[in-house]
Amino acid sequence: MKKSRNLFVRAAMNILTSGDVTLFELGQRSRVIFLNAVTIAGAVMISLFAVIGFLSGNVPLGLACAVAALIVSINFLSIRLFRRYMLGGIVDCLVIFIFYYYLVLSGGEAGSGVLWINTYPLITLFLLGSVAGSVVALTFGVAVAVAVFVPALNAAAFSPLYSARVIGTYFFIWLFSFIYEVVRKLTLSRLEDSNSRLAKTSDALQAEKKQTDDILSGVQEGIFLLNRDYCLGDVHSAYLSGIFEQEDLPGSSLLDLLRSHLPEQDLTATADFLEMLFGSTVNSELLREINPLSEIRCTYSGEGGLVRGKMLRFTFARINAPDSPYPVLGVVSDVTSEYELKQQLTVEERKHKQSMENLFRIIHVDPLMMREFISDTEAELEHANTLMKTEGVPGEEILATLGTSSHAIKGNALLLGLDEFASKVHAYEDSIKEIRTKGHSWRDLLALTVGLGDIRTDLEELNTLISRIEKFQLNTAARASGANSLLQLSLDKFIRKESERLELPVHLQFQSDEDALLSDEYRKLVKDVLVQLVRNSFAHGIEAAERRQAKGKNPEASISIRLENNDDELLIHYRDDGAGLDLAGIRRRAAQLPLLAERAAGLNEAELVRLIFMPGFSTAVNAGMEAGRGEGMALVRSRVQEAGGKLALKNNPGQYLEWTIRLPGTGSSAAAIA
Amino acid sequence: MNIRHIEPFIDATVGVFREMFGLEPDFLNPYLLQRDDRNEWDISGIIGIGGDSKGVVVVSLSGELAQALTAQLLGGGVATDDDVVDAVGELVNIIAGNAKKGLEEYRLDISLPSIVRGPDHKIAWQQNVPIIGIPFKIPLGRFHLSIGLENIITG
Repeated sequence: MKKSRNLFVRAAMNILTSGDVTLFELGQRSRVIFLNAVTIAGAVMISLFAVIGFLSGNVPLGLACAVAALIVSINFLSIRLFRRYMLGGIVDCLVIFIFYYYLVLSGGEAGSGVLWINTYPLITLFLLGSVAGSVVALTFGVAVAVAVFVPALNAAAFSPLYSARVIGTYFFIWLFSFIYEVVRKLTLSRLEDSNSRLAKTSDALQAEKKQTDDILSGVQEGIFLLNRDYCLGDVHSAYLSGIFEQEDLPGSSLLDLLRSHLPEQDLTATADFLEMLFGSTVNSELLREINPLSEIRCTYSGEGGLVRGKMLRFTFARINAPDSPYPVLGVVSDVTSEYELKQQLTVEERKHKQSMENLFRIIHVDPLMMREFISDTEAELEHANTLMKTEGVPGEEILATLGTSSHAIKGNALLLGLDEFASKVHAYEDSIKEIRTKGHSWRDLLALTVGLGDIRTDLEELNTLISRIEKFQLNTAARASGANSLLQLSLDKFIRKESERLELPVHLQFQSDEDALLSDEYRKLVKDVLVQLVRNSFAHGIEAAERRQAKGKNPEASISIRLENNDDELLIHYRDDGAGLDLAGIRRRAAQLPLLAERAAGLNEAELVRLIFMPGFSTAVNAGMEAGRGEGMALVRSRVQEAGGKLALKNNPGQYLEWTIRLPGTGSSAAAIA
Repeated sequence: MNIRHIEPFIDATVGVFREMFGLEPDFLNPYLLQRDDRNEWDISGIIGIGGDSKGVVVVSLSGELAQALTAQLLGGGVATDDDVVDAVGELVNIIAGNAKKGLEEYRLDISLPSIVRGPDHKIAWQQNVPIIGIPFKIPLGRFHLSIGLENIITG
């Protein structure tokens, strides 16, 4: 509006307000405008009278008016320069007093000079206020009354009745002006009161707003309001811009702000959640629980290829004002460091827990046996990994090796009671088997490599733990008695454990020639083979105690193992007095296999026995941790053959199953030294 | 280690060779890398990983292959050592950049790649983290992707 005002209006306002309209209070402003208006009008009017006086040859009138005009003009300037408004008003009133009185005395055209006096109360009351103005106005009235009632004093020589009307009119005008001025003053003072009250309220509001602003600019959380279109309100905390890494947030949709920083599924969940938040069907407590943004990872791109993740925690609250345009209050904070700390704690806690579990197992086992287990497992892993590393090895071969290796590792872990480790390897074996069945891809090999890596990591952790324990627990007795008694110890422990678990009482008879001490080369081989044979006995051979009794056997089954050196050969005799091979069962199983189904019925005994060495062949219905994969016998045969050894089997159904394994060289450390 | 954390890097690596050089790398059998295995490579680009898993992803090349690839990028001639470092840096940058999309889904962060150079240089791998070695074959030679990532989130 100010801009549209033209120059003329602005100049007029400037003149009438002595330079600055904003300078005055409300009551003073109209008085100043009136003062300037009266002064200017007076100067113009009196100048006009001066001109008329000179033109009509009335030199004294002309001169007097010229002097008066000059005084009024000077008064206008001094008002503008010094802004002494009351003084200016007094000068104006005085000049006008004299001028009007002169007009009354001189009479004017048909006595019309007296008409001007009726403006005087207005001027005095406006310029000098109700009290001083009234005093001056009434003094003037009395002076005029003297002039009009004494015919000698006025040129017009009014009749007394006319004079009375002149004075009456004058006093009525004064009275109404006085009332008007008083009312105006009262109104003004009330207005000022209310203005000052408003100003105080406004100050208080300003102070409160400042506090709110300080809070919003200083708080280390993003605070915002949401409307029904999920858009942010105009007011939010300064921190919010930092969290969203974006300025100019008001009006932006929360979903848009999150869009490129969240995975699609999280964004969809957020949209669904907001819909519920703005609805009324879901209660606040449930909303809090299902809030998908309660702890969410958002990624932000930095310079170059950098991707930074931030953990943000959003909480939302419905505002209990049904008509509010922004019915939801949101608070978001950056909890990245808190989250990372928590993550670290979780990792530590998990490691600690696992260590404790392992520790519990290990302290019950001889450290030497543990060592042996670690180095055997490492050797298995290395064996498989070397094959994988060798370029051009077909995937099938790698899978077969991984299968037998993990089977051996699992067996050894069970032997030591490392059940958790064994069950991991068992799961790994499962996946190998699955991949072998469906045919493998490169990604499958990658997945198996990753799995193998996890097994190795677990093994490393075990190793660290054992090293620590070794410092405390060192069984010198076992060390002195050598590798064979260690083997006996392991097998005995394993058999006792299996015996308990399967409720099949079994007794181990272990015999070893003095000179059949195993070299490092054969130690692992012999142990692997014996473990598999024991497992096989438990799974397929040994009958329940009642059944044995019914058959006239000792309810406690026996497994006998004998190691002997015989003309540059290491002989291993293994015998269990169980039911022997279930040839009928093998034939039934063969009949179910696509490759053998047709020939199954015609297979002779030797051919049926050979089937048990086929990888993946098993008569067990469900593969368990202990047996049923059909890998055990395949492992035995491949290990023995790899070492250039021979395997013989004697099956006496219902009575016993006997294995004889011949390994070239004595395999004996004593012989090796000799 | 989660195989899904590895896949974006494999896809990005193969993609870069396909798009930048028009080559289709052959996948050789993956295997486990020992922490102290000798590194037969001359130059490696290393990308740091953070977030739900922590560790590094390393792209390693022989000097000759790096030379040959750089020369192909420069349009022939002999590339200086600085050119080779710049080119490998760029290669690894693109791999990191392309892997980004897949990583966002798995809530992983990646850092700006850095380059290590020198015959038989060693990478200081984290303890207790399996390292998967993935060899690739292209007509110009071989290169190698090694990935060692720690499992943090178990649930």
